[in-house]
Amino acid sequence: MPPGLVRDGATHPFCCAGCETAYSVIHSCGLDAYYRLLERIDDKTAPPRSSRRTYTEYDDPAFHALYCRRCPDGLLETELLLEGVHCAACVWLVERLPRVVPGVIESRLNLRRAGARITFDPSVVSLSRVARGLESLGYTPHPARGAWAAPVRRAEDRRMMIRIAIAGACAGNIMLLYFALYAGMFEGIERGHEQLFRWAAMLLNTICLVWPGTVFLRGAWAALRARTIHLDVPIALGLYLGGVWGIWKTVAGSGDIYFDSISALVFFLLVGRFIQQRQQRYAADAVELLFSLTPSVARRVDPEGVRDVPAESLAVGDIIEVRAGDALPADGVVLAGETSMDVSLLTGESRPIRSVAGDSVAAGAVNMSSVIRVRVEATGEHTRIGRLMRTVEEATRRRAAIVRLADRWGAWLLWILLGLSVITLAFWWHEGPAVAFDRAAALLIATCPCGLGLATPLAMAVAIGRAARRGILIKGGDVLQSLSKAGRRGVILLDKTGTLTMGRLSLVWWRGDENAKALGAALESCSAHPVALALLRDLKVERLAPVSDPKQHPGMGISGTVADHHVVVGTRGLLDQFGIEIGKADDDAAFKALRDGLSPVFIGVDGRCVAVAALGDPLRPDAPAAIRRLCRLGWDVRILSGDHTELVLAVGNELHLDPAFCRGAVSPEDKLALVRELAESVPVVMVGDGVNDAGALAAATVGIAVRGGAEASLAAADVSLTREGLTPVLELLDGASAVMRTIRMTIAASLAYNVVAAALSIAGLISPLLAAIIMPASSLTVLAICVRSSAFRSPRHPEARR
Amino acid sequence: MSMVYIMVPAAFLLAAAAIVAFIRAVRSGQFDDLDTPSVRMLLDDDPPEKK
Repeated sequence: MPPGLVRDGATHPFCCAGCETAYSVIHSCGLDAYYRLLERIDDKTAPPRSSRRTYTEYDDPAFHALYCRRCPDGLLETELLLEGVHCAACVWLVERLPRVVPGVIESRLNLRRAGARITFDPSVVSLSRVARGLESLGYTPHPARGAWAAPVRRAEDRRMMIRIAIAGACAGNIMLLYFALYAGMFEGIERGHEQLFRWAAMLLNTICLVWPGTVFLRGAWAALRARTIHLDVPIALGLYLGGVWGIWKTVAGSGDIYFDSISALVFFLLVGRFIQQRQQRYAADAVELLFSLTPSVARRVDPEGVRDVPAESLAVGDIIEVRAGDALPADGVVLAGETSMDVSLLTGESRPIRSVAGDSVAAGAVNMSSVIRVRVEATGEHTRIGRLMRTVEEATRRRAAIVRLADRWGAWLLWILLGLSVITLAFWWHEGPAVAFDRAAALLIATCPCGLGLATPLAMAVAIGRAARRGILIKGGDVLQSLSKAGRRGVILLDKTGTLTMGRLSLVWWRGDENAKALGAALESCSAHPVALALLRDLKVERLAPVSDPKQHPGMGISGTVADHHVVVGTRGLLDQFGIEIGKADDDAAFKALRDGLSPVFIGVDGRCVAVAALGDPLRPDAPAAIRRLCRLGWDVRILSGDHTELVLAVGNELHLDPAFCRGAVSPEDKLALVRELAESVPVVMVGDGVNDAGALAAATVGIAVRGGAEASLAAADVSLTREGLTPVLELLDGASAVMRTIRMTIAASLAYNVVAAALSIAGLISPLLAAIIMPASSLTVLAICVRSSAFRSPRHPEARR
Repeated sequence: MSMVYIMVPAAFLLAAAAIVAFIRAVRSGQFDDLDTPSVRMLLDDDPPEKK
């Protein structure tokens, strides 16, 4: 905490008003224990923020219909995603919400999802009061958009867990019975007991196959109906053929049976699948939280005043007020006010656009400087963003299903297994059909691709989990596969604004009188224009001198009196207006700025031009190194941006890229078309952040959304990065190839075991005991390789670690 | 050794009971969130004063 903020006499010093408010709320509710818990847990919590939002839109019927569920006893239940949830102390505090906000019946926090399920009595308390209560505790709430899908997913999870439990119980008990049977093989066993154990094992195995095992049967059936073959087909073949064969042998009263291997297979494979499913879901949940950070509230101007309403309830003709810093919730026409808009999210243009009364503005643009009123012309799906989103959906649907690596192997394996069993049949036919069929069945069971079925899900789950901890959220395992496959000959398309560059205006260099910095910064503190904000932030002047009569010149700059000096900061035109001459040196500097794709700003003091500041959207510090490495890895690196062509060329030049591959002024629709065309011949990786990239992200072989991106791009992308810069992209590419190496290794290992098993069974040497040893040995090998895998583990890019 | 004829079915009954219990636990939502309860149980309503 900065020492200057400590007040004398205060028992508890606070860093800001927000913390103090949060403390007083916590204190007044008698919840001081929170702080003791925090000390005990040693946490790196960010200071709670208070935004004084009213959350009145939470009380709108439209909002309730979307996000709340009515319980039978008249209570309402809703799920809110919370920012700033870290640890056990947060769980404790959020779950004490009923003591802070009367009328809340119950509050349950899920630490992993950072989602609170809140039950409240709508006749006692409004949802907005609940939201304000949560915020006063320091957790900014957001409605959970995917809430309707939650019960479906929960039911699916529960079914899966029950299946695993049954398969596990069956496998465990069968194994116990088999201990007795194997012991009997060496020590001798009473005939009656042997029969009992065999029948008991058969019973359990049948339960295992007709309940949990049907997952594979259904998968295999679906694959056959679609006229493809994936790994489920050989698995189902081995399992059910072995099952039926075992029943036949049990009823016949003699012969080898493999129930222990079969039931253990079902159990292991289900566990592998469950782990993968969960890991992917966690990544999806994290993306959902990013989603809900975008505001869904509009300020509607009604006859009785300005009211917060959900953006969904706006209608054409409504008049809305948009404050500085807010995003437009709908397309419309500016009625009053004059401001500059940041449309980089929509078009990729990095320079703000000036909007005055009568101008059309599009939803998603951010109002940068002053309050405007806008008449709504189009809402929801009919806005430009909405139309764009439809193309995104189309592109997502069109994307061809990628055949998973293990599934491709599955087809091969099936034919090899069938071929081998025919050979076995022919080979042993001279011993009589009974022996021949016995050997062939043993082969099919012993070579059932267990390790193979386990290998891919486990390796993927381990990789996705580790990647998520490093801020790389991967939506599906197939992404890693297509990334590593694209490695040698792929094209990587990079968006400029926000991906290669910082995505915001800043001071790049300052040339001229250093003393003028203080004067310029002081003057700019009177304006909210992006140029002013950038100068004020980057000039880093400690103490600002007072300014008298500042005057804004829209689109040109600002003038005023600072510390007895007349100061003008603005364009060449503005300085001309004040009769200030620009010298040769400053003129050259301005020309150089323009050539580098920067905007020059002149600073005039007392009738003389004393300095030139160049503003622009600077490259991310890690960009040059990252691009060099991408090129070395064999990627064809190109820039695809909606920004002005000369700015794109300047950036490309700085990164030493071929100017022919640096395309600027590309509309979102063109981006989509370009990516589609490219993707037909080569794998395309698209990296972008804005809505303007969403279509291209969805159409690309792999779309990567970088931090701070728009909701649309998050939805369209296969991978979302929560860390800034291009380094995570490199980590992702490295990780993808490491994962594929691991998977190939596991597949090789499990195939080796299968070859041994196949050879033994063709030779007629396999027995249930041997199968029972080989099978877990292959699974354990696979497990060991996965856990040891280097994917997403070594900090190969140390500068990226936070 | 004819005890086995009673013991094996008895063992099956026990296993079945365990499975039924587990299914009920799953259906009542005890396994929906595996992370939060592990920290929730550490916190009592009023942690003792640190002295």
